[in-house]
Amino acid sequence: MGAVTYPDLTVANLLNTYFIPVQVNIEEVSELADRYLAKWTPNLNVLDGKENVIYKIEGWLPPSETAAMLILARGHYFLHYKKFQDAVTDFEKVLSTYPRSSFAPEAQYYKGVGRYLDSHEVDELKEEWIALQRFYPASTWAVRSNV
Amino acid sequence: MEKDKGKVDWITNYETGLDRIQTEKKPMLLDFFKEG
Repeated sequence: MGAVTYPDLTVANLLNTYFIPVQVNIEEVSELADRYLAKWTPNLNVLDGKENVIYKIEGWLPPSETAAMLILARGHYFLHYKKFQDAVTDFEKVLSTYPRSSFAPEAQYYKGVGRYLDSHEVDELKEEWIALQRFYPASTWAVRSNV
Repeated sequence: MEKDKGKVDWITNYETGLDRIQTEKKPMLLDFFKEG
């Protein structure tokens, strides 16, 4: 991550602008690693101020995938705090900017969730999940939305 | 032409990061890494 992904301008700007970026050597913080069940690196955790893990991912990602993941994770952060319109905006940004990302189907799924939680209109959920079935039929998220 | 590079302003102390969450109202991205 340090050689290719973090020096990417888009990734660096996202981290500096929308997150508090904290980087620790797993071999020097064993208690912290145990607390966050970090057994493998890279190991990225998006936390809120109460130390809740909002999003977690292990393994290397290229810059474009990392950028999509960061925007998606921020959407989850907003969803957790019931800022549904902000969440939907971020999920939509993943879809419009990184439609071929491996994180796009999850963004499509939760865009529906965010719209539904904001409006309580089931048609808004259906609209997004139909799009999920159409554009990402092979994803696990399409399976989860096939109700 | 080389692509423009960025630089992440990493904090290397977890507690400092927690304090910054409270003041800046942003989530933390906590990255566990291993040398080499």
